[in-house]
Amino acid sequence: MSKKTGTSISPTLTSSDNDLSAWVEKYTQDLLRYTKARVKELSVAEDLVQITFIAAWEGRARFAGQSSARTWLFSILKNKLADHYRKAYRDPVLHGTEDLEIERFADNGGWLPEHRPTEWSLEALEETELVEKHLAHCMQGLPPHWRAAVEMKYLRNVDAKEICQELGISVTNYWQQIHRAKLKLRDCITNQLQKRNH
Amino acid sequence: MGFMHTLLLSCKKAAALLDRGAIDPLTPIQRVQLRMHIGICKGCAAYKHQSELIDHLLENRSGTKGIDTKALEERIKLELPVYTIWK
Repeated sequence: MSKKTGTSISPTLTSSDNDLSAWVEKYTQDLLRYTKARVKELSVAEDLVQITFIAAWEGRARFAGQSSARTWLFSILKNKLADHYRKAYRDPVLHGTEDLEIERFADNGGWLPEHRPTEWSLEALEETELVEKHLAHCMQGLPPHWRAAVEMKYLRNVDAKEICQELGISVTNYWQQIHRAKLKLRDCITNQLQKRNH
Repeated sequence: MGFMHTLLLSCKKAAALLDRGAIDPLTPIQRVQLRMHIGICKGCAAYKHQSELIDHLLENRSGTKGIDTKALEERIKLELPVYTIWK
């Protein structure tokens, strides 16, 4: 076995320009899959993947091969997604589209009978599969800025304070919005599951 | 009912605390109140289960497999500085 000396075997952008094109071929699919599951339009997802690679090119000096290329690209992508959600969240045009809130609770704070959650009564594996399918559809039905707030929650492992700073709202405001969005998601999934049974 | 609500929370409060707890830590008293409420309230127990499933699924979305990205890959490569210079 020959021993390599003096050459780096880990791919870095600085070593050769060809590496970036190899990365594009290797990671575009994964990056796009991830993004497409989190934004509504394919064209927007594609643009986000593209600007991720451009940012990777521009920041190539900072990638010293400490993390894997995949991890590094995903961290850039997540920052780009956060920018995207922040803009969506703050877009005043989108705020007008919020629908009227349904009252789910009686005056005494108990669930109104027609809104009281009951178990979806599906076998665990089937439940996960079906709910996952409906969830994608139901996310699209949320008011756009609620969706942006929800997406921010699951995007990165940062604490609520940081997200709230980015969105420019209080923590209370933030969890109330997430709570309302989740009530609505639950309603939507329940309706979808019932449709299937009829 | 008023006494029960102070001790065990209303469903409205309990459901809100459930989702709040995933974002903003609850006080020990709130946690006890919530656990007691869930223990006796089937509606909120179902809500807890479903809310947690939604959390789990949103966190682990992987998206659809097998999207054709060849065209996008070519487009990205053309946009990258090195390709514009050397082409």
